[in-house]
Amino acid sequence: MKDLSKSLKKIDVSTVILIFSILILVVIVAVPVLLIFLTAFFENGKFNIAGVVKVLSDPNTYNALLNSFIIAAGTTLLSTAVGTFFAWLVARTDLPFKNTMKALFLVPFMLPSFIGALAWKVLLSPRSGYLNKFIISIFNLEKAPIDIMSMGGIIVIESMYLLPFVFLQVEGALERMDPTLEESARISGASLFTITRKITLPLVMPSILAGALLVALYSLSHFGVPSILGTEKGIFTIPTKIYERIYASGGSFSAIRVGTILATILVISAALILKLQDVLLKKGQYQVIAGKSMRPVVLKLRGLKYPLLIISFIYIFITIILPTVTIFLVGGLKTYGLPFQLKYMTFDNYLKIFQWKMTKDAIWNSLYLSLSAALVTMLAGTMISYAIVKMNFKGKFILQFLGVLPYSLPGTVIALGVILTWSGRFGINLYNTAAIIFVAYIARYMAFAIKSSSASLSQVSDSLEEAARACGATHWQTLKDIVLPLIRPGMISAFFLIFLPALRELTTSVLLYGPTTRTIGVAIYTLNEDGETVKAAALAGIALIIIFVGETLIRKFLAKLEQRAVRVKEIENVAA
Amino acid sequence: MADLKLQQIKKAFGDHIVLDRFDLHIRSGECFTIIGPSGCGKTIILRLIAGFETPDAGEVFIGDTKVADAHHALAPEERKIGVVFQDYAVWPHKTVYGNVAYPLEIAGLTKSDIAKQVHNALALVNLDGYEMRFPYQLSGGQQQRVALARALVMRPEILLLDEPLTNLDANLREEMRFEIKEIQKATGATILYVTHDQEVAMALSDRLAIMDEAGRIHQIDTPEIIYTHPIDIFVFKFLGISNIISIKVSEHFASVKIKDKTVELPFVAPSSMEGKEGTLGFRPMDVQIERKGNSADFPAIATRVTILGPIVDYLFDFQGIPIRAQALTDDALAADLILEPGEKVFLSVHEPKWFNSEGVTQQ
Amino acid sequence: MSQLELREVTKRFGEVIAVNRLSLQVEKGECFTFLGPSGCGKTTTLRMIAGFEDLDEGELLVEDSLYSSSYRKFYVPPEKREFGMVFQAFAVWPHLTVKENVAFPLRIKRRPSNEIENRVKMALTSTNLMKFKDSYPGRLSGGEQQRIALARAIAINPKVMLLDEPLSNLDAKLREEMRFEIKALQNRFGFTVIYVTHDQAEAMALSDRMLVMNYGVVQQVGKPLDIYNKPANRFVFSFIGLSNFIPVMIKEGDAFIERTSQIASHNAPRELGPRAIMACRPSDITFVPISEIDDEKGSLGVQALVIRRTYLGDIVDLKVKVGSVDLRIQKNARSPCPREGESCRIRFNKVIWYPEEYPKESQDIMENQPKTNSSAS
Repeated sequence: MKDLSKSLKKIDVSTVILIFSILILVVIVAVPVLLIFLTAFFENGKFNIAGVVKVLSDPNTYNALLNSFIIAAGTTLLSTAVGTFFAWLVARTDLPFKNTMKALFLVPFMLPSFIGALAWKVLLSPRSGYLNKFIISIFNLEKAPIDIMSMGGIIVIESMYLLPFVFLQVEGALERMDPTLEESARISGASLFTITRKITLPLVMPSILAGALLVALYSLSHFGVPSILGTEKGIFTIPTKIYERIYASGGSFSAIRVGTILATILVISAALILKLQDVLLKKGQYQVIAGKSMRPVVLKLRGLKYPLLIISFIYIFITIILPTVTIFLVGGLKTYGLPFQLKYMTFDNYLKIFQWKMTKDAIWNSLYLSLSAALVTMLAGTMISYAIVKMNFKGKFILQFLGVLPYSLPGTVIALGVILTWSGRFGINLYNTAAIIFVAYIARYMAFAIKSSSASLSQVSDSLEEAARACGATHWQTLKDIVLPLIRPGMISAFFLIFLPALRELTTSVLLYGPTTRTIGVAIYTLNEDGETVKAAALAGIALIIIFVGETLIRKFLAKLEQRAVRVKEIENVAA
Repeated sequence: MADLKLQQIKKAFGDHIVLDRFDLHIRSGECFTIIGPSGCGKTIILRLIAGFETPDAGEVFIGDTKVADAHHALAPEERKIGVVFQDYAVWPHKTVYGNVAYPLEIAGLTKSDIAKQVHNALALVNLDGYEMRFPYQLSGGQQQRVALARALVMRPEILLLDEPLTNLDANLREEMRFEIKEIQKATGATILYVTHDQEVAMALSDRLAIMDEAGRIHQIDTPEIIYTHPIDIFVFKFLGISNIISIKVSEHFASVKIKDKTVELPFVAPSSMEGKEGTLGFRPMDVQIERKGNSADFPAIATRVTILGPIVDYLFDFQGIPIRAQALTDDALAADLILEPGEKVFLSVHEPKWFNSEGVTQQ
Repeated sequence: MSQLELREVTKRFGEVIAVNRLSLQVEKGECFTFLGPSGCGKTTTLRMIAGFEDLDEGELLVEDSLYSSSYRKFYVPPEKREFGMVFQAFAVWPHLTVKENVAFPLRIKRRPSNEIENRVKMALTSTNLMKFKDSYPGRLSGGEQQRIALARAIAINPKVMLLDEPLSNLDAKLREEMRFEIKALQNRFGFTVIYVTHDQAEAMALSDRMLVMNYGVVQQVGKPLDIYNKPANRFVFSFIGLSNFIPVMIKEGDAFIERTSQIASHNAPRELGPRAIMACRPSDITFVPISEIDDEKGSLGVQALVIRRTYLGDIVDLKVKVGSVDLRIQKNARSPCPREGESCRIRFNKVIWYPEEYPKESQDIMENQPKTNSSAS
């Protein structure tokens, strides 16, 4: 027995980690992506570009392409402009209630945008929208002033929910900026306006662009909002077109093939966007020297202070409060279309959510799928990042590439790839089972887990491991006693940051669900499609509560972990 | 107690050859320092001995045991060496006790033995009472001592220190270098210390090796001998501020070419340099300043006089050649030598060093 | 008319008084340094002069014009003060070239373009940066970036130049070089300079006059050599250089080293009472050569034991023990000194006497004028 454990000890840890990492990435990531390209470009084993061109020149498909790009462009411009403005307002002016504002501008992150789209459809659909009806009655108009079921509507709603990306990047950059850069401009005689224009803005531009590109990426990949607000009116984007084709044909292979062709366009665009972001960020990588913390230059708003505060509050009201309240109210209606009066309201729908099989199952499915996927992804991601960050071997860049690849793949594309891989081609058929969604989630969130673990791992300096080896510990012991305890907070953090998005996602599972494997997102969506708006809203309401409670609890828990992690960083700062 | 031997070591990273046919012998029980500019390869030598790197060619011996060659290498955990890293590498998730006890736990000692030895190690570095603290509660100097205690707790025969004092502030650096010396005397370990800071190196070492960027060792000897008898101009310049003058020797005297003139200096050159070109070097502290001159002096004008606390720093101009001199402030005050720029004085140099055209010291 | 004047300037952060009733006058062309440990208030004072912080109390005048006054509620913002400033972290704009960085303040002030051209050229030449004029700061080393900051401040020919620990982020060798460069620039252009640092060697090398500060209170103002020779209190003594503080008991003019019968000095001042502190530098203690020791008199020198001897190149550093007191001695390596473990006799060449209690920070420095002896025997 002792011999066995001794010889086990001799097995090179590095080799084991390497083999598993390669296996996982190949099976989960490489194969699906490869199959997509193969299916798109090869017909019956032969390279067939003509087929591709035929699909692309079909007005149906190229309209969808065009729409996707127009929406992405519009959303990017709108959310960047507004997001940057609000970030500047919070970080560089004397706006009151700053900390509250900062937190509130980030709340839209928590709201799944398709639920938001649902609420806005209820409010502003051209004929039956509650808000439209209200405005018509007040101003005595002939028809509804705002039609949310339009390209413009999609752009505005998407911007609302993607704005936090820009806000977060820009606000962070402004806070981190070395205040002496602005002070030295000030002592050189520049007014605050000149400083903002000539110094602050150029220095913060890389972050603005990074946020903008992220928005573009998400908008192209997004399913929920264009689907709820556009499909009825015949406005399609790439993800919704793929969905429509596959469901219209009952999953026929030619539909899937069309899907892969469209998916390829999506992947190429996403890759270009990420490459652009990389180039821009590297170019603008200015040294931010963390000096003593001094207050940055702050603009006194004077007369504009309260008007701007009011505008901010109105914005928050429109983005957060209005949709949320609407959802809860609609969920409490006895029948859709009735006015919001007490006699037409009931709590029943909310209770029934937990009794109806479909919704009950959906909640259960989402919970266990996201929990298990988060667990597996986190563990695999940690192992793979150890290989990437801490080990040296030939061909490391392949592992890095495969690890980051899924980040650029829209959920739709991953779903397609997973269908192609796991529908019996290699002997395993997971189609219509929960397992296929499970596998898709792992692929979808792997890149995130790797990025997050890599960040934690790179904070554990090599000398900490080497010191253990010098103390007599083997590589295994070092991993167990030194590395693992130090990255545990990062791992837990990554777990939750995968679990929550997975819980409420729609884009991926909408292509993979079977009769018994709906997720919460899919359930809300299909209820809405079937015209059961009240039930959809009620489920959405419950989902919002679960998400909100979950986020708050987890945030508190993570904050406690963060405190401990800060102490770890302090040591490294002292030593560095 | 063990000595350390590196024989004909070659180590390259890609195309960059850091060490080539490198030999080194460190005697048992001595405190040996390798000093050189960053990137010269001194840290690689330390890592080769510790086992974090393996040689491409050559052999590493600890005592009589061969621990590494190009084909086999003993893993670091098997070498029983204490290592102190530049960033201390104190584990943040363990207490001071936990850090120092770890090597003993790995070795499988009983709880009571561990407690005893940890206590001894902490006493050695003046940290008893701090067992239950976490590293984030300690200052840089205290963390450094935890790292030392951890390296010493297994009573290794060899202790490797990789620039451990660089990140400490000046006062603490001073204190700690004396402490390390005392610890070495108390434990009798063989110490290899690696640094670019020659002040620390001089204070600590029994013997010193000076290395250049190409990984070549110029001189190995005691600090005093290296300082007073540097083997070549690289060693001389590395160990401190110096005055360097290019000269030509004719008829025993050195002369300097300034623009088109040749000026003779009152320095007698060694006979081996007769008729040849070379370099003259001397330390600022070796310059003697007098208000009245004699034949052994040369006249110079003070261009800058700065009082740096206990030392006065002078810049003199001798016919266009800048000469840096230093004196203890109190000596200068006593001899009325706090000069004003423009004052004319006479300088002489105590035992200047002579270097031939290849930079080798001449006697 | 002084170039810059501070009158009873006070600054509070919550409960803490960061700068406590500071008054001083700086003359035109003077290089004036604020020296003290971190947190002593020197940077806060500089920022008040620059205008980034306002005075809670007091007034600031430049060339007799009021720049800030707490009484008259008057305050000139930084952009209107026409100062040049060099920051610790360089604060050089990474998205502008070296030339654009230096020209920036002149462009803001809308100077004519040929004037800008000339001034930039002058500033870049005097800081050796002409060859980098079209480069971006990110490509240059720390020392070169610091010179960009200097050039930028020089170009506007400022009324006062403010330097906030400009050399702290550079390595030791560069620091040495740069401090001579800064001094040379100041000599050449004749700027009034206000310099802040915690490094006493830097302060001594650069200043015409300096101010030593601790806990927001002025400890001493004067020329560097005067402060070095006659530190006003123990804090200044220990901050300015290596120090030995020897507790002594004074009886009729003889100072006995505490808990021994050894007399360190026969000239102890009577005004300090029975107990005092005798302060001296490591270079002020000498070894009495054996030929001079007269055992009968017993008054030449104090018996000591060498417990550590370290060779540092030009200097030898020794630690000796007298009774329970450890003393540090530094000697030129060429002069003879005893070995470790040897007994010897030491003599104190120059001491400064301080009262036993450490003076409270806010006490008037006039009360603590030191008594100086040039020789102890």
